[in-house]
Amino acid sequence: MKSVLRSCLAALAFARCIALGGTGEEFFEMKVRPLLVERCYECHSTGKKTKGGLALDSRAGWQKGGDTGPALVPGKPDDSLLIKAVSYGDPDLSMPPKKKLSDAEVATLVEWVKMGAPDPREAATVKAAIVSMEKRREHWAYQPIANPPAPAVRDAAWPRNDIDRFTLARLEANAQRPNPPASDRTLIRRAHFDLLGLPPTFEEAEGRLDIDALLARPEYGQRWARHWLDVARYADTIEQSVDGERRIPFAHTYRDYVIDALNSDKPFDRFIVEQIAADRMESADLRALGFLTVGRRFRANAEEPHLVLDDRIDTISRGFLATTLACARCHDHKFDPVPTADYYSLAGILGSVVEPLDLPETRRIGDEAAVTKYLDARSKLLAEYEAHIDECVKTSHAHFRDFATEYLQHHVRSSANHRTTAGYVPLDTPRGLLVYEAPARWSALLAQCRDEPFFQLWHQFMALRKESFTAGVGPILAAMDEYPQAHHPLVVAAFREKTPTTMLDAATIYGGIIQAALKSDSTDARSVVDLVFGPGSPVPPHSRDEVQEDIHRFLNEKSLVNRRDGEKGNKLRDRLAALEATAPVERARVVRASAQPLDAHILIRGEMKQPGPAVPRRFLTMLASVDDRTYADDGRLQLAQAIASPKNPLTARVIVNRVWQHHFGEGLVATPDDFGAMGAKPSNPELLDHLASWFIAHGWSLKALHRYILDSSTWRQSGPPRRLEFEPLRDSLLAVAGRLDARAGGASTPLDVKNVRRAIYGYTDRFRIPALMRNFDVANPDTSISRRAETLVPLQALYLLNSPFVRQQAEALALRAKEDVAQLFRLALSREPTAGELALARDFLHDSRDPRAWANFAQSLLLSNEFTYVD
Amino acid sequence: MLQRCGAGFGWLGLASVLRAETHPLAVKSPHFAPRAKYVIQILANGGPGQMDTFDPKPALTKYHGQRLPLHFATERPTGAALGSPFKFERYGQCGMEVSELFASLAEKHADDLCVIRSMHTDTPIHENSLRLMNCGASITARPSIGAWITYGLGTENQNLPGFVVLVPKGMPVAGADNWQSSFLPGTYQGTYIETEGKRAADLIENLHNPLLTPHEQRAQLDLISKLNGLRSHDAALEARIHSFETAFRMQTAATDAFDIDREPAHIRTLYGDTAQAKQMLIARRLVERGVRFVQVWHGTLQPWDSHNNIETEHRKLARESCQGITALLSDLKARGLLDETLVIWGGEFGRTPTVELTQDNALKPTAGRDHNNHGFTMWLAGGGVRGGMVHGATDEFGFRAVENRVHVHDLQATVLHLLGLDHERLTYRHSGRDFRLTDVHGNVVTELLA
Repeated sequence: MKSVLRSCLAALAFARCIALGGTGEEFFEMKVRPLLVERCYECHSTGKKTKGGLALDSRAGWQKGGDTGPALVPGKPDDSLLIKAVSYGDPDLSMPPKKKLSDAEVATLVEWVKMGAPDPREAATVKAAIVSMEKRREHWAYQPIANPPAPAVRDAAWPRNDIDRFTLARLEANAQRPNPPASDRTLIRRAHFDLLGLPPTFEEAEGRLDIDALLARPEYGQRWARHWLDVARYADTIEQSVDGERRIPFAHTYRDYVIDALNSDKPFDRFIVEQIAADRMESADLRALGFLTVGRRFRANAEEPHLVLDDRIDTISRGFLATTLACARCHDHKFDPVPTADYYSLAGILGSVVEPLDLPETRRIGDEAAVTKYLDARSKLLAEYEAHIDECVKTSHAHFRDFATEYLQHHVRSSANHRTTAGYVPLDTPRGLLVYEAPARWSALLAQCRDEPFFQLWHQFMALRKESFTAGVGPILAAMDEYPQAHHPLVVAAFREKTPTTMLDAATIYGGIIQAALKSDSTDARSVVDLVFGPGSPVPPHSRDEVQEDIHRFLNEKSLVNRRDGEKGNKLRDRLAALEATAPVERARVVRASAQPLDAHILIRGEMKQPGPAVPRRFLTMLASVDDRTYADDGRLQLAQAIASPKNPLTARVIVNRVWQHHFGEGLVATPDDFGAMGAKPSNPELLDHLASWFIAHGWSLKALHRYILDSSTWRQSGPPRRLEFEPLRDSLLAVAGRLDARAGGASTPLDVKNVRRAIYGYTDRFRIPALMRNFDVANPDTSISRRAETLVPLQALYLLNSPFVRQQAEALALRAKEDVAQLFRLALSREPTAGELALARDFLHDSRDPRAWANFAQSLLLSNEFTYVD
Repeated sequence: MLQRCGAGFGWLGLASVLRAETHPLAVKSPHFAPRAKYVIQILANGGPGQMDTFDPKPALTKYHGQRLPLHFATERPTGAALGSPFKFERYGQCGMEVSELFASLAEKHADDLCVIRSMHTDTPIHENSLRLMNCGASITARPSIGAWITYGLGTENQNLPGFVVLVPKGMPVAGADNWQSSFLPGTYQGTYIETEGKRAADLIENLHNPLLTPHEQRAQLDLISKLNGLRSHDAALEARIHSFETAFRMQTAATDAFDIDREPAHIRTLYGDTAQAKQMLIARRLVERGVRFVQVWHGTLQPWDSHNNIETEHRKLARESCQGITALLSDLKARGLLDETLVIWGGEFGRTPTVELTQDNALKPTAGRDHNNHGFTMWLAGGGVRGGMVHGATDEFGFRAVENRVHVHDLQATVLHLLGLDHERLTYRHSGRDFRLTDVHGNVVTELLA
C-alpha cells in the first residue's frame, strides 16, 4: 500500500506569485462585483457558504483562495483557477455548477484578472466560535485516571466490595436504596449467560455460584470474543459484491486468537499491543494481527489505500480510545482536541504496513498427503504470480517508452493553452491505448523539469498561445540559436532541422528525440533517457512493489498495468486465495513494516488529489503526556505501546466501561466508543476511575475484573429483564436440545439448519449477511460496533415460530425429556415446573404420547420469555 | 415492580428495555405535510443510456462515427460518437420527446412524467454509484434511503415489513448495501425478496410453517402467553408476546399481499407476464397495504449495462420492463394511489454518447456505451411531482449535464421533502456525530414539485 500512497501523496508544487496592483476599481464596481454577487456569492461568501473553502466576497477571500489555492493570479487569466472554472474546460472544476456564465460574463472576468484584479473589498469578519484545542483538552476523559478512595456509606452492611461503596454512595446521596438481592438461582443463570452465553444445566442451577469455575471454562472466551469481534468489525470475507473471490483466507485464526487470549486471560495491555504490532514483539501470537486486516477492502475505488487506512484508524481509535479520530480526516475535529494532522500522523504509521501474500504457517490440520499436495500447488501459484509481476514490470516499462510521443501529445491536447478537445482527452491513439492515469505522471515529469535544458524549449513553446503559436516560435528559436548552451544538444539539433507550426508538432518532435535517444548509445542520448525514464523521473514504475499494488487496483487506476495484465494478475491472486481458503494448514494474517516508512501528507478535506504538508509519525497530540516523540521508524510498535500505556487516560477507562456494559446492559459511559465532548458523560465518574485504576493495578486482567464485578452486591441486585442476543439465543437452543457441538476453533461455517456449533464459529460473509442475523440486530461488520441495537420485530418471532432450525431443537428437546413434563422444564429452563405450569402442560398435552404434540409443547417453552431473557 | 435505579448505580438496562417497548416501525409524524406517503423505486440497474431513452440528441446522430468536440473520462476508454439507434417522438399534451423503447409508457403517461435530464453522480463505477444513489455515500457503509424513510416515518401496516426489496433472482451489484440499515437498527433494513419461481407464501423467509397447522400454532401461542403470564407482567416482556401475535397474523397478511394470483385477469393482462411485470404488480399490492418503501430491481448484477450492442440489449431490456411500468402507473392512477405514491425510475448513472473501445488495446468499437456519471436521465411520477415536465439538460451530445444540474443528493433531498421529511433534520447519532442521508449536501429541487 505504501508505495501507491506515496505516489498519491506526492505533492506537485505550484509556485504562485500574487502581484497586487493596477487600477480599475470602477470596472470592478460596475461589472465584476454585480456578477460575483449574482452568480458566485450563494456558494462562496462568508455570510452563506464557502464551498471548497473559497470566499469571493473579499479580496482576501480569493487571495487566500480555497482548498486548491488562490482563486486567481492577477494579470494571468490562464493561470487563474477562477477563469478555468468559469470557462468550463475542466469537468471537475466547472463553475457555477448549475449554469455556465455567458461568454460576455466570462470575458468580463478575464478582463478583470488581466487588469490585475483590482478589488477594494475588505475581508468580512468571521467570528471563530470554535473552542480552542487547549480548552478541549480539559474534558474529563483526557485527565489522568484517579484512584479515588472508596466513599463512606451509611449502610455498611450492604457493600461486598469497593464497587458497592461507590454505587451505594450515589444511591444514598439521592435518597435511594439498592434493589433487593436476586435469588441464588437467578444469579447462577445470570452468571452463566454473562460469562458463558449459555444457560446453566438443572444441576448447575441447583448448586452454588462458582464464578472462578465459570471463568475457567472454554465457553467464556467464546462468549466474550463475540463482544470484541463486534468492535474489531470481524468478518470472513471482504465486501466485494460481484465476481471473484471474496473470502479472507485464515480470518478465523484471528477469531481463535481472541478466544484463546480471553481464555488464557492474556493481560489486556498485551492483547492491545499484539493486535497492532505482534510482528515487532518477542514471541507474540502473530494471529493477533488479523485485527488490522479483517476489515473491508474497498476494491475498485480510486481511494482504496486511503479507505483501508481509514477503516484501521477508525477501528483502533474508537475501539481502544473511544475517540472518533476519523472525523479528523477532512478537518480538525469539530469537538475534540484532535487536529487533522493527528489523523495523518497515524496514517503515516498505519500506512507503513505491507501485507505479504506468503503468510506464516501456524498449524497443520490436514494429513500429510493433503498438506504436501497443497504446498505444491501453492508454491507453483506463488511462483507464477511472481513471474507475472516481472512480466508486468517489463510490459509497463516498454509501454512508457514506446508511447512517449503519444503521451507528450496527450499532454498538449489536454493543456489549457493548446487544447484540442473540451473536457477530458480520450486515451485512444492510432497506435493503441494509453494507460489511464499515466498522463499525470508525464505532466509531473514536465513540471519537475522546468529548468532542465532538455525541456527549456518545451516550456517556452507551451507558454505561447495556440492562435499565435507560429508567430511566437520564431523569436524562441532565434534565442536558442543565439545561446544554444542553455539547451540540450539533441533538442537544438532537432529544432534546427524542423520548425513546429503547432504545439502538437513540437510534441511530435520531442517524442522523436526521445525515441531516437532510446535507440542510441551516445552520451547525449543516454542523458535524455535517464532524464525521462531514469530513477529521478516520475514516469516509469520504479519498483516491483508499485506494480504489484497496481495489479489488483488496475480497474480504477490503470496507471501502470494494462487491463489484460491486471486481470491476469487478479485471477492469479484469486486462485491463491481460493487455495488458501480451503488449506489443510492455518496461517496468521500478518503484516510487516514497509522498507521505507511513509511520510503522510495532510489531504485537504480528505481528498487524495489535494495533498498538503507532510506530518511526522507520532502519537495523538492530546495524549502527548503518554508519548510525545516523533518516530523515525514506522512507529507502529510505539503507537501500540502508547495506547496500552497505564499513563493513557483513555484505554483502561474504555475497556472497563465495555466490560461493565456487557454485565449491566449499559456502560458507565453510555457511548462506549465515544468519550469525547459529543459522547455521554460518565454516570459515576469516581466508579469509572476506581475500576480503571483497579484494573491496571491488577495486571490488566479481564478475569479479575469480571470476578470483582460479579462479587459485588451491585451486580447481585435484582435487575430488569435483559434479552439474549442472537448468538447466545441460538447456542442456548442447541444446548437444551443436547445438540451443541462443543468443538473449539477452526474454519467458519455458515449458520445453516445443520450447523450445531456455537454461533461464534459461524461464517460471516460481508456481502450476504443473512437477513435473519440483521433482524436479530447482529453487529454489521462494515464498521466497529460497540453497542448493538435492540429491536423487537415480528420477523424475529417468525423465525422462532417457523424456522426448521428452531423446530429441530424443540423436537430434540422433547425426545430428551422422554415424555416427562418435569424433565422438560429441567432441561429447558433449569428448574422444576410449578403446579400452575404442570396444569398447563396437562391441558396442552392431554396425556398424549404423540411426539408432535410434545415437540409443540417443547417449542412453546423455548419461545417463552423466560427462555429468551437473562433474568 | 422492581426499583430501576438511575444510571451509575448498577442495573442500567432500563433504557434499552424501554426502547423495545415502542414498536420501532410504528407510524411517526413527518416534519411537515407530506405530498407522498409511499415510494416505489424502480431501478434500471446497470445504467440505461439517456440518449437512447428520454434525452434525444440529434447532434449525436450527425456526428456518428466522428470524434466529438468534447469528451469526458469514464470507466473505460471510448472513441467516436455513437448515434442512438432508436427513434424519438413527441408524446402527450406536454410534447415530451421519448424514444421508441418507452413509447407505450409515453403514450399513456407522458403528462405524468417528471423527467430530469440533468442528473449527475460522482463516479462511473457501478457499486459506488449504486451506493450513492441508494445510501447517499459511495464508499462507506450508510443506511439506505428506504431505511431512512422507514426510520423517519414508520410504516402503516404492522403485518408487513415497512421496506421491501424485490429482485427477480439473485443480487444486484453492491448487494444488500443497497437496502442496508447500516448503523440504524436492523429492523429498518429492506426485506429482500426473490420474486421468481416461488409461491407467495415462500417469498419471506420463515413466513410459512412447513409443519404445523394454524390451529396448532394458535394453541402454541396461547400456551406461550399463559406460561409468560404465570411469571411476570413486565411491559417489555408483554411487547414480546405482542410481536408473536403480529407474526402470527403476518403469515396470512403477507402471503396475501404477495399473491398476485388473486388479481383479476384484466389486471394481470394489463401488467403482462414478465418478471418485471410481476414485481410491479406486487409493488402496487404492497403500497396499497401501507408498505412505505418498495425497491424494485430489474435484475441481478447490472442488466442495463450495455457495453456491447446497445441496440439489441436495450431493446430487450425495455421490452422486459416497459409494459409493467406503464401498467403500474395506470393502475395506481385508477385506484387514486398515484397521488400519494412517488414512483422513481432510473439507473445508477447513464451511458456515454461515445462508443466503447475494446479492452485489449485493439481499439475495436463495440457498438455499446460505457458508464457515464457526468450526465443521465431519471424520471419521477405521482406523489406530488409536476407531470409532463422536463427538467435540466445535457450538452448537445448528452455527455454531461449542463443546465439545472441535479446531483444524486439533490434528488434524495427532494424525495425526502415529498415525504414530508427535511433531509437536514432526519438524523441519527452514530460514532460521535449526527448522520443524515445527504451527508452535508443536497438541495430540494423545488422546480419538480407540483
